[in-house]
Amino acid sequence: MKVSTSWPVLVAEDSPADFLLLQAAWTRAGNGHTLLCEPDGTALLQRLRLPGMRAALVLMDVNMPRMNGLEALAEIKADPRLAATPVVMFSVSRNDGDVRRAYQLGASSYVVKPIGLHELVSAVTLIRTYWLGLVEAPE
Amino acid sequence: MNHDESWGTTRGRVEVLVLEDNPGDARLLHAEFSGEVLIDAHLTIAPRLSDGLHLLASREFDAVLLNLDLPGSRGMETFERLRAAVPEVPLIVYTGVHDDEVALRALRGGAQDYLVKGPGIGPLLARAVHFAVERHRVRAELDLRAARLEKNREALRNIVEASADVILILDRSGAVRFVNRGAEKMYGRSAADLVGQAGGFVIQPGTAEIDIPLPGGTARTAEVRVVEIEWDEEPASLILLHDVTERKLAQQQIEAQNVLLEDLVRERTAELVAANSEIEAFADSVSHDLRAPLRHIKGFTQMLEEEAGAGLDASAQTLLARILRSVEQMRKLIDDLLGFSRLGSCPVSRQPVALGPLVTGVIEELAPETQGRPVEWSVAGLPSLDADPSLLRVVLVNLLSNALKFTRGRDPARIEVFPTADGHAAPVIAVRDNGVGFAAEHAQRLFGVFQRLHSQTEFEGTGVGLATVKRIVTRHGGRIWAEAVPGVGATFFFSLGPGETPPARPS
Repeated sequence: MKVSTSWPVLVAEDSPADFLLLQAAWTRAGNGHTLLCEPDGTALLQRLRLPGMRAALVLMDVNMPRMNGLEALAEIKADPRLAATPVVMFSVSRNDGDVRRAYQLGASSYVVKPIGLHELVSAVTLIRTYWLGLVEAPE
Repeated sequence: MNHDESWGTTRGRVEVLVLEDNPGDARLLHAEFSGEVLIDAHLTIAPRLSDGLHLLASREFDAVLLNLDLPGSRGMETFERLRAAVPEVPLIVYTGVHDDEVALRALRGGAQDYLVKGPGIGPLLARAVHFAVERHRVRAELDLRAARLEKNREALRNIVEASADVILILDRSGAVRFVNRGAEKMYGRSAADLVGQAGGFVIQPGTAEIDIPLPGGTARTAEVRVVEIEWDEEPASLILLHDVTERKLAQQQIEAQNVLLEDLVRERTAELVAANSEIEAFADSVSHDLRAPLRHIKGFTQMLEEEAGAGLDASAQTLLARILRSVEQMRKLIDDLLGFSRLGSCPVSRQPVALGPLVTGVIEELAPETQGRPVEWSVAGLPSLDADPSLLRVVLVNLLSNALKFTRGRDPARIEVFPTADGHAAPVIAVRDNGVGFAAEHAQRLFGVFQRLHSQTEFEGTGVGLATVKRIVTRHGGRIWAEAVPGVGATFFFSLGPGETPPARPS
């Protein structure tokens, strides 16, 4: 089935400023899909496990306090009820070790946060087009 | 009396004192000796002992012919007084009366001969004088030689004694026969104590060095030489010991110091490696942390521009544009610095790289920067270099984009890349431009981090590019330098050091 626009997109991001920018880019890139932000991996997992929660996509920062993005990713992929959710890593780090580890753990994509609103809008547009428009989601 | 050497074996005239009170006998003696061919003797007659002693005190005589019975002195008394007066001069006794006891006493007392007067005694006397003189002469010579030998022996002994080395002489049984002062000092015992001791100095053949245990638990180390000699007409071993204890100790100390130094170097190297990776991690995290606020400044400024831009006047819009330019500059600075700091520890993997295609590729990549300016590139005859391809690429990107930047405004800009030689084995690559150049006194500053010769408004830049280039070249064991004339142009030269597998060079 196609991804429903009623499904929210969950964001794990500890920087409020980064989330504000992401939100600005998100609304510029299209309609639908509420963005929900959690400040770390633990909070993200709690939200994902709420009854009735169905996330269209997870946008995961890597560097976060408490549970970081890679740890949260591992936990999502280890949980059969969450494992099918696409997780796009969204990080400032180009570190090859981080990129490799993310894909090994089952990340759907790894995107480096661009600098600049326009660049961010472009990146978000691509993500939306692909993960929310093109691909099929399980029933 | 004529003297003729061919007549006798004596070397010259022999002066003979004759103690004879009988004038007839004296005459007879004269006659006998003058006809004698064996000896050229000159006789001086003294009738009394006192006359004889007087003469002996005033002149030298080779022999004394002595009649024991003289006026005023008789028998052995005459002989003994004479003997006492001239102990060195040979005495020959001749007498009118034969007396066995007197003869024996005279001969035991040192007389050369004892003859009895009688018919035919003349030739006997001459022969006796001749033999006595010869014997005396030979003995004197032997004594002289013996004295010389003794002197030489003394000198040799002094040399042996003065030697700081230990000198021992052992006989076949291994008993000590001689030690020098060096040995006394080494063993702390007197020569008298050491000589005669047996078995304490066994040295296996072929030994080069021995440890000598000493009383008190200490020991000395000595180099050994053994020479087979004769000592007191018996085969013996001359043993030379050269004390090398101090030298060995010093050697051991040096070796220990070296080990210590090596450990220290290893330790320091490990510390440096750790410090380097710490710095790199630090630079990594700093650059990430610095980027975050930049991202926010840029993002929010752009949002502001979008949402309020239409309502802002021109000067406010210029300010927004200025903020965005500054952010961009900061971002580039952080990227460059991060790249520079990573260069310190990234591995350099060298392989042959064809420089020509690499330069052409970089020029194509830089095309957007020329922005339609007239640029004449000249790339010719570039060799293959043994280098890390990605790092060499960074070098060229920096050098060529610098050349592009500093020729801005030239019509046309001319940039040449060519090999040159400065007499070194490694090829030298030159990048020459006809740009603004720089003053010679700035040539050294160029390659430092953040060293910029131009203002940001003249020529933009972070001041990290040439520092990066230098670090890459240095990590290849090479060097880089530059020459320029202000207003005319600049030339940058670099050469890489030999790699582990140097590129094949045309023969």
